[in-house]
Amino acid sequence: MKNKTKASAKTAAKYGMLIALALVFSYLEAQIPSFFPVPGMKLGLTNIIVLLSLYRMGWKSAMAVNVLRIVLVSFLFGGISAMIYSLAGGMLSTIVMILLKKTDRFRIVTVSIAGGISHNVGQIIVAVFALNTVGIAWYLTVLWFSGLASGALTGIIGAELVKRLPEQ
Amino acid sequence: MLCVVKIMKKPDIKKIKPDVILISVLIITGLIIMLFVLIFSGGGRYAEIKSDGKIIEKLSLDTDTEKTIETELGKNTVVVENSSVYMKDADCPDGICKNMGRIDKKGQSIICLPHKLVVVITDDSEENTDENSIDIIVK
Repeated sequence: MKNKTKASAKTAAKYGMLIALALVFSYLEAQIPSFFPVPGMKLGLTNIIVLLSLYRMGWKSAMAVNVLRIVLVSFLFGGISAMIYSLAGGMLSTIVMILLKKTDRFRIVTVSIAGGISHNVGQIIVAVFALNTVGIAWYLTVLWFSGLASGALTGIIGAELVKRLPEQ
Repeated sequence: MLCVVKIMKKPDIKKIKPDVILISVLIITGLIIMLFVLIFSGGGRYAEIKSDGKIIEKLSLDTDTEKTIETELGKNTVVVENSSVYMKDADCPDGICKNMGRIDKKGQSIICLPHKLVVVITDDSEENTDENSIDIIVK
């Protein structure tokens, strides 16, 4: 009984820490949007946290951290429409990364790259429905490669973190 | 030390291959999408005629038409023929717009500066042709 309470307190603390970190990264990113010419193009720093929770705490926590983070960020800085975009992208990328991790054949960087791309693809799928145009097809090309780049970046950082942090 | 390096390297090499394959597939897919976009955005579907920045006419490139635009600045005749557009006639002093030739690709334009008239090819089927129609910032 005592042990269980201790464990759940530890888990709660870990979740809290990871979500707080993800929030900080989201906030940081929100401060530099004008940096990139295309809306939606971003560094995806929070992906580092998702990777960390995926590799260190399992797929359930990765999903939980990401969904909670998106909901919180949307309430804090964004709006409902931004939330729908983020959720679509975040869920798709998390699912893709979970599945790729399950195959146990890929490095963290590769998993992250696939996640970065699928994140942007998820957002574009929503955009196609929301804006009702196919005219954003060119947008897909740009975001495909930007997702690849940001996925690689966060993947490298995430892999280093996973390597250095103890497994718990 | 050498031994450790060897042991550490072995699973790494084994793991590289599927990664390389997946990343290559992703890059190639991206390139294919790019190719498709380039091919399909080649031809536009509409010619927008803007006077002083406002869209006053939108012509489909599928039907051949001739349209004369009259503003207080002057008269221009825009012709749609065989899915391309050209300025047939204009009473502007320089007549540059008449010499700009035919346009048929998305993004191309004919500009008549003295009359503040612009003809632009788009493939946007919507009424909302604002260039900033994607205005949601995704966080």
